Amino acid sequence: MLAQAHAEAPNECCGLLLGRGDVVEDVFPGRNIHMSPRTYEMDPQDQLRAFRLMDERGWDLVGIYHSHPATEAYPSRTDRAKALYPDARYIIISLADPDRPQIRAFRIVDAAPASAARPSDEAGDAVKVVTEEEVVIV
Amino acid sequence: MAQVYLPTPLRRLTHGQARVAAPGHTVEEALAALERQYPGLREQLREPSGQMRSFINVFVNGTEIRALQGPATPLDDGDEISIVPAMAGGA
Repeated sequence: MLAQAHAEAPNECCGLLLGRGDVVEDVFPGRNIHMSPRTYEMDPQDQLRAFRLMDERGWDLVGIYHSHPATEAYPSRTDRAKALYPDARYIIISLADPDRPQIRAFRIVDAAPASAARPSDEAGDAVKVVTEEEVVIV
Repeated sequence: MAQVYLPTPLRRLTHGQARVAAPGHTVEEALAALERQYPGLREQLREPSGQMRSFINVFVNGTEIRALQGPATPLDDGDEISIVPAMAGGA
């Protein structure tokens, strides 16, 4: 993940962590179709390939990672607004200090069940709850 | 019947099933049939106007339907529809 983040800087990189439960078995690099230093969207074809691989191997989607080339490793407003996978961890790699990259993991879930009236912030986005999870590198 | 593949965030609406069968001659018909069968799915896939949400990508046999005939894309028996919510964000 770090090598990819450095290689694609100053653009954001993205990819998936595949495995079982919360244990990562494989890193699946994706293409950021925006090729932008400020936003990412993983190539849907890459997503589909990853989902097929997960089916073959019986793997879960452990996490979705992306880099923040110049900002902190915390979900931005855009990250929160566009988070559609509440079961996965969102892993953010910050290269704000390129010599000391930071990796942090978060859950991003809707504040209310989808069926209930969703609370909104001032911009009208559904409110998301962000909780940090521990990252253990083994 | 087409087979429809759903990733994890949508499986809570299909009782945990990753693959479900859907009747229909087009993508639109198959999705409408699924939406009738699984309450809540329509709200996840479409705008209130009925348009597919921009962040929902739909594939038929691995090709995005925007590159085919969109919702009118015809289906043959055994075709696979995949519904893939975007993974996106920004710093």
